[in-house]
Amino acid sequence: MNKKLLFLTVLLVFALLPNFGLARDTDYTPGASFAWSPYSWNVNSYVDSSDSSEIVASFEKVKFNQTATDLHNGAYYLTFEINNTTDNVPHNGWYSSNIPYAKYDKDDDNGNGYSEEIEAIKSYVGAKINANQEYYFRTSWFDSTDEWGEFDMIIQRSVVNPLNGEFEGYHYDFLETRYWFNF
Amino acid sequence: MKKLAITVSMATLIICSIFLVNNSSDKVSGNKITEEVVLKTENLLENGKIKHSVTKDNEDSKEIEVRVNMNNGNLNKQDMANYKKENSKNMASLAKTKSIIPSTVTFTSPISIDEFETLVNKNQIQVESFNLIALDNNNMHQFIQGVPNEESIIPKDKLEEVLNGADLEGVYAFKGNIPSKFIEAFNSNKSVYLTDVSKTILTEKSNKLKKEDEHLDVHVDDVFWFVNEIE
Repeated sequence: MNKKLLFLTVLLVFALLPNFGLARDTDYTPGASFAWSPYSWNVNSYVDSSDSSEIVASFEKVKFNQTATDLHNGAYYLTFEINNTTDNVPHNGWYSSNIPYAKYDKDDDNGNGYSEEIEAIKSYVGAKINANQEYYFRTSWFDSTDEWGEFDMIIQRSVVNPLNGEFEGYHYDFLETRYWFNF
Repeated sequence: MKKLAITVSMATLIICSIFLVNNSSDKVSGNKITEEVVLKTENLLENGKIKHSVTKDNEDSKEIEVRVNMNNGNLNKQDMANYKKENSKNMASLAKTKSIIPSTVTFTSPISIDEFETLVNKNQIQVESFNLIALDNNNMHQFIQGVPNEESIIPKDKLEEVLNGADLEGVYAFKGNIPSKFIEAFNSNKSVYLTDVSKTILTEKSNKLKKEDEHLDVHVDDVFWFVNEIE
C-alpha cells in the first residue's frame, strides 16, 4: 500500500469514528451513552400544582465533564430536545434556558396542531459550555382533558451541514422518559 | 505541491462523500429514527455564509421547515452589513405591496419592558413572541421566550414564574407583524439593530414546494448572539 493510500484509509477510518469524524452517535436507549453525554441530570414532567392549566417539562442540573464540554465546544450547537411522544397537548409558547444564546424550536410533523418536538438550541457555535456547570431547559404546555402524557428527554449535538447549509441534530442521546398525570 | 493538492482534494472528496451519504439525515421522532429530507438550499449571501434551507423531518412529515442558516462560526461584520443591506432593499420593496410585514427584530442592546411596550404600541405592532435575557441565581444568563396573552404584551405573572428569581436585564428581540407604513422608520430607530423581513420572501419561495396537506414552518431567528459577540 503506498503512503497516499494509507493516509486516505486512516483518514476514512477516523472520519467514521465517533467524536473524531463524521460518523453519527445515535442512541435511543435510556442513560448516558457517549463521551459527550452529561454525567448527571434531573428531568421532570408534571401538571403544575400552582396553575392547573399548565403541564411542565424540564431538564435540570445537566452537568458535563471536561471531556464532554471539549467535544461540544467549537463545532456543535448543544441541543436539549423534548419528544412529546403522546402528542396530545398544545405548547404554550414559553421557554427558558441557560444554554448560551438559547433559541427555541417546535415541530408539528403530523399536522395535528400540537408539537411533538420541542428544542432549546445554542444559537452561537462560538459560545462555550463549561464543565460541571448546571444547565437547564424549562418549558410548558396548556393542559388538556387527557389523563396522561409522555416526554422523552434527549441531548443532541447539532451541526450546520457544510454542503447544503442545513441545520441538523447530528448526534443524539436519549436520557430518560418522563410522564405527567392529570388525575 | 501537486501531490499535496491531489491528496487534499481526495481527502475533501472523502469527507464530502460521508456528508452526502448522510444528506438525508436521521431525525428523532417519537421513539423512531426517521430520515430528514432536504428539498432545497440557496445562498442568501454570495459567499455562502448565510443560506436558506427547505427540509422535512421525514418523507411523511406534513411540516416543511424553512430556515435561515447562518454559518455563524465565521460570519463577520462585513457579511452582516451585506445581509442588512439586502434586507433593507427587500423591506422597501415589500412595503410597496404589503400592508403588514412579518419580521424578526433584534435590538442593539436589551431594552426595558416599558420601552418595548411603548415601541410596540407606537408602531401598532402585533407581537407574536418576545425574547428576554436575565441573570439567574448562578450568575448565568437565562434566555427566555414567551408569548402575549389577551391582557398584555408581556404577561407579568407568567414572566415572574419563568424568571424563577433571576434578575431581568431586558427584551433583546421579538417576532411580530409590523405595519408597512411604519417599518422603515422603525428599523432606523437607534435601539433597533435589525428588522429582518426574510419570512415573507422565504414563504413565497417555499410555497411552491408545499403539497396541499402540508404546512410551512418558517424560521428567521434573531441575531442577538452576533450583536453581543461580534459587533
